[in-house]
Amino acid sequence: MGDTLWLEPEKLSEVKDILSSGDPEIRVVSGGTALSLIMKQGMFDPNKIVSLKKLQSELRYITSDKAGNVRIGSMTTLRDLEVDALIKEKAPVLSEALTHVANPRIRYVASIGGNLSHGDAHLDMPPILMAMGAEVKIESAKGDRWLDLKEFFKGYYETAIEPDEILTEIMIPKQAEGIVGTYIKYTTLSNDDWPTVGVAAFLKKTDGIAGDSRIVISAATDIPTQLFDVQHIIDGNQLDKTTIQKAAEKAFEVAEPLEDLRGSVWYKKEMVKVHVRKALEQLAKE
Amino acid sequence: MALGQSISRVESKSKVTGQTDYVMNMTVPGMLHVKILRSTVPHGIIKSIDKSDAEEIPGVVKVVTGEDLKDFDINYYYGPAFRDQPVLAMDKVRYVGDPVAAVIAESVEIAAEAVNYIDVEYEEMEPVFDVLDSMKEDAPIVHDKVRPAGSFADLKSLLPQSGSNVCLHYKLRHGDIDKGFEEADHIFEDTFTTPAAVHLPMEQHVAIAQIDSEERMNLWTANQSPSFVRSEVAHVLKYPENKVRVKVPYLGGGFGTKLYVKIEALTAVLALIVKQPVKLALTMEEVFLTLTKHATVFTMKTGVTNDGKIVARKCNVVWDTGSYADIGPRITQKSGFTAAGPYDIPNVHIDSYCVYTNNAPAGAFRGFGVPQLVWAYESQMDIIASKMGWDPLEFRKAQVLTEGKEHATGQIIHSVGLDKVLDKLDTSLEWKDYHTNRTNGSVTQEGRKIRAKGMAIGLKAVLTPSISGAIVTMFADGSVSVYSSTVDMGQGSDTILGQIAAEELGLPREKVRVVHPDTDVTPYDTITAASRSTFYMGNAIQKAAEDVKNQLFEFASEHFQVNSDALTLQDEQVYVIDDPAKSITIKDIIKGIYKMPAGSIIGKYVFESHYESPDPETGQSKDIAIFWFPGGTGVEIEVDIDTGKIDIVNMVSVGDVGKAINPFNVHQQLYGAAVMQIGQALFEECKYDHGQMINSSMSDYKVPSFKDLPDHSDTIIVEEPHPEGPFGAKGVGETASFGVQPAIANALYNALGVRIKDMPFTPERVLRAIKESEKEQESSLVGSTVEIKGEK
Ligand SMILES: Cc1cc2nc3c(=O)[nH]c(=O)nc-3n(C[C@H](O)[C@H](O)[C@H](O)COP(=O)(O)OP(=O)(O)OC[C@H]3O[C@@H](n4cnc5c(N)ncnc54)[C@H](O)[C@@H]3O)c2cc1C
Repeated sequence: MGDTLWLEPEKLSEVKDILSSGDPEIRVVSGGTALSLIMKQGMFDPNKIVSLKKLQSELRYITSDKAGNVRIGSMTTLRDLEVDALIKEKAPVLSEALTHVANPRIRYVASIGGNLSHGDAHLDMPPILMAMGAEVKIESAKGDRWLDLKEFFKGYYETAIEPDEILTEIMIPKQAEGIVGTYIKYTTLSNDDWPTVGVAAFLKKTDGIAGDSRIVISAATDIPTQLFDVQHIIDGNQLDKTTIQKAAEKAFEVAEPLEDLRGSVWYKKEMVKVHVRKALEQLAKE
Repeated sequence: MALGQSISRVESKSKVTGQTDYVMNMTVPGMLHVKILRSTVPHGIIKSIDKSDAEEIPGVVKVVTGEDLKDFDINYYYGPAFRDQPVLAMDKVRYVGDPVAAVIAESVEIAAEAVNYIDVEYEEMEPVFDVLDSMKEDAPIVHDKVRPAGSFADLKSLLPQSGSNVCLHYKLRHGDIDKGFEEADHIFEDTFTTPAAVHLPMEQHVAIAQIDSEERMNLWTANQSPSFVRSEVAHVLKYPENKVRVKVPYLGGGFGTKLYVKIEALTAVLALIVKQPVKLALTMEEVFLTLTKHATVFTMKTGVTNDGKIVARKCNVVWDTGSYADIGPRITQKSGFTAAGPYDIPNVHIDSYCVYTNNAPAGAFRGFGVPQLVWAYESQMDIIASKMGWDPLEFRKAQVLTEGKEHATGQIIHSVGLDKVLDKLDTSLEWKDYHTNRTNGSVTQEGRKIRAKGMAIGLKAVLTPSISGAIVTMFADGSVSVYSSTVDMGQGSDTILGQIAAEELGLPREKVRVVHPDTDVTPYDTITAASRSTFYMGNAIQKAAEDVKNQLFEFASEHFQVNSDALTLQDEQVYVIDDPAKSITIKDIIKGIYKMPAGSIIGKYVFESHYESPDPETGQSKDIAIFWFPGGTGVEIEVDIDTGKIDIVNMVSVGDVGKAINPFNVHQQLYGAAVMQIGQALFEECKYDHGQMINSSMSDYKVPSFKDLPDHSDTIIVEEPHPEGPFGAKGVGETASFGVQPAIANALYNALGVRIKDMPFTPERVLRAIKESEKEQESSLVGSTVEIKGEK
């Protein structure tokens, strides 16, 4: 520490040039709320930090495209998203969840790009965005690529972003007519803690029959995990007590949580079950 | 006048506008910075330390190890009860986090970097982490030799035991315990545990040491006991006390972790070694390793008769004091003697053990051990009441200590409003109605959440003996300065102590200023802790102010040719009571005394408690505490039976404060102490893996946030005046900390019939208990016998 070089390029192309060496010791920083913590703990000590601070005009935006998809620049802050009218309309679950993320001081500086790139399974945005079918744009000097969030998270603090790459945009596809969704954040220590279990549930109800369901759990597992087996139980069925119970039991069965300070494997499996049930009960009422 | 007024804090404005000086923000010219290298092994001999690489780093001034200290003529060990803690590890380390070396550098960053370049080789020794294992005869010994300390009168009799990890065994024998159990119709025995927890004030431990041109040691430190720091640092440096000056500005919180010497001895020694000012500021992560609250194992056996009287109680309390005793021995004794609860019990037997382990040192924590005890005795009160079919409130009322009754220590109790505290809990919880009408917890939200109420009371004895000195100076213009070594660490002592002086002198509060502790200037005070300052320092200030008043009266009585007792002081004037036309202003009196409009009137007082040291074999004393103060907590909780999570919907804290000098401040103290305990009750716990704390950061060790506050809270003041208190006041800083944990545990039992005896009540622990009790109920349905616990 101390020798770290701090760079503040003014163009995205410059950032890509700097990163093009592929040196893993070079790190991008957006809001810095996550990176500063791991640096302070001595877990990571980059020799160059590339701040995206001066790329506000290029990377801080929330718009919708012609197809009705929402497009979010990676430097958009969590607070921007929380209060944005378009997000409230197109992704109200996200706006609601953001009011329970960290605290206002953090939300004013933390970016959505940093939130995803951090690859921490305890965050609240990844499961929601994943359940909504979001995709991310990853750029480098070599070119751009789009990736479904389902393929983005690779492991504990590990994502698909290569050292020469940078995440620039998040695209939330237009949700089909009749889609309802919810997110439950469950904490076991103080109420402002990171979640012990997060459950995002989205599905479409047609005449009481559920379809197109997307159930994603996070925090309990090392990466946000979509529970396809649970979705099979839900899809095509009445969202009644029996279906919900079966889905919850299935979630218990397939979830593979890790034990940590916030709960044992047994307890986290129980909590996955309980909160998948609670989430579905909520959707059944809507 | 000033008394009983909710005057707002004198420092509020400066704090919220960021003007307040804290040691954390202070610098002195030429100051160097210190970072500590800490032991990575729980128990071991230091074989070698290679610091050459670290010392070569540009900006590093020096790396100091225990070995280096041997070049200096100083004492290496310090501590309030026993001098068992080295300035830096000497030969041996005793816990993961024990300071092994200190880097002194030009910047914090360089010092932090250099710490990584020191190589230490340890020869590991077998560690002991479990406090009960540590009491066994074949346990590894943490301290081969323990040196007694001599600073406090009450601790002189606490002789350490050598060759054992039990560093203190306190005994209380009252009545005939065997006979008591014979008389009992039912006997209950339960064990309750409390884990280690931490204080986490917003401001970490921080100190600056500077040797001045007179070769005196100057210390600025965030510490709750400046007088003790002066004498203990003087002991370490082998300086006379007047060559050590300790200054303490406002603290960003204390809660017990900043008592006695924490980092001050090391900071002072380093300044001595490099002959330059040094600053040592711990990181929050290091605060976790510096001091914890005692983890305890408390086994309580109680005998009751069929007509609802407790006739015998046997308490076995084991305190894990960690690697250094700190103030553990005093907690073991002074809280130990309250272990049987605030009840009139004829036969009591207490064994309280202070035990070394290779865990982080444990010491004072708001409540000073009493919450760990109340947690057990108030849980058991409800266990007994429920088993016997009694109303837990009536069961308490039937034995609660009231005026003139004898406490288990042999002291006759007076001025404790325990019965009033119970009455307030009764009405505020609507207890009678609740207790008679409830079948079980009331069910809400489609049967997934259950509500229930619970209560608990506790009693603490104030630190006795102790001393507070104060000087009150009145200047020629009639304004006043109060010189006191009480530390305002956020509890509002500057405000209240100033109110006491103002009241005595008939002045508006704004005319009085309280000078912050500076051992060159402010007189000796034992400590700012133990809910003692309003009583002890308040007394000293009241009497010092009275001294000033008497001097004013002396002049006025001659001036008017009347007796002093015919005079009164009001609105900055002395009046003749029977002839108010005869009056003279304070300014004129001072002018009269000194024949010029200058000079000052100095009043002083040293308040000392009376005390009778307890008999070493029986713990009996007719005068063990100068005052006792009770508190009670009532809660209504909502338990989610799917997750086990407890939500506190209502919390009532009741405290008998004698007299509320500043009612708003008193409410704040009650509320703050209670909220702090919510964290301890529900989720706070230091977690260790082979002695290494694994949640030593605020990311993983959570404290209550605004989102954890009860939906509704009440704080209720009871005033049972104490004849020796200033205007009848007792203390309040810890009062609301006593009963929170058992009140919640009792409510949980009332909700679901599950009894938890280990803290904290995490959702997982509660859910497990719920599942187990469901299983038990199922098995009892098929006819298997359920063991009836506690029955004779
Ligand atoms: C006290 C506290 C409480 C919190 N509570 C919550 C909570 O309750 N719920 C929750 O969801 N989160 C919580 N967080 C986490 C917070 O949301 C994240 O820290 C934040 O979103 C990260 O964004 P950032 O812009 O600050 O990231 P940074 O710290 O700037 O970066 C994080 C990581 O992502 C990389 N990175 C950043 N931007 C890019 C990019 N454009 N392309 C590629 N890589 C990039 C960095 O190199 C770094 O590795 C909390 C954080 C704190 C400090």
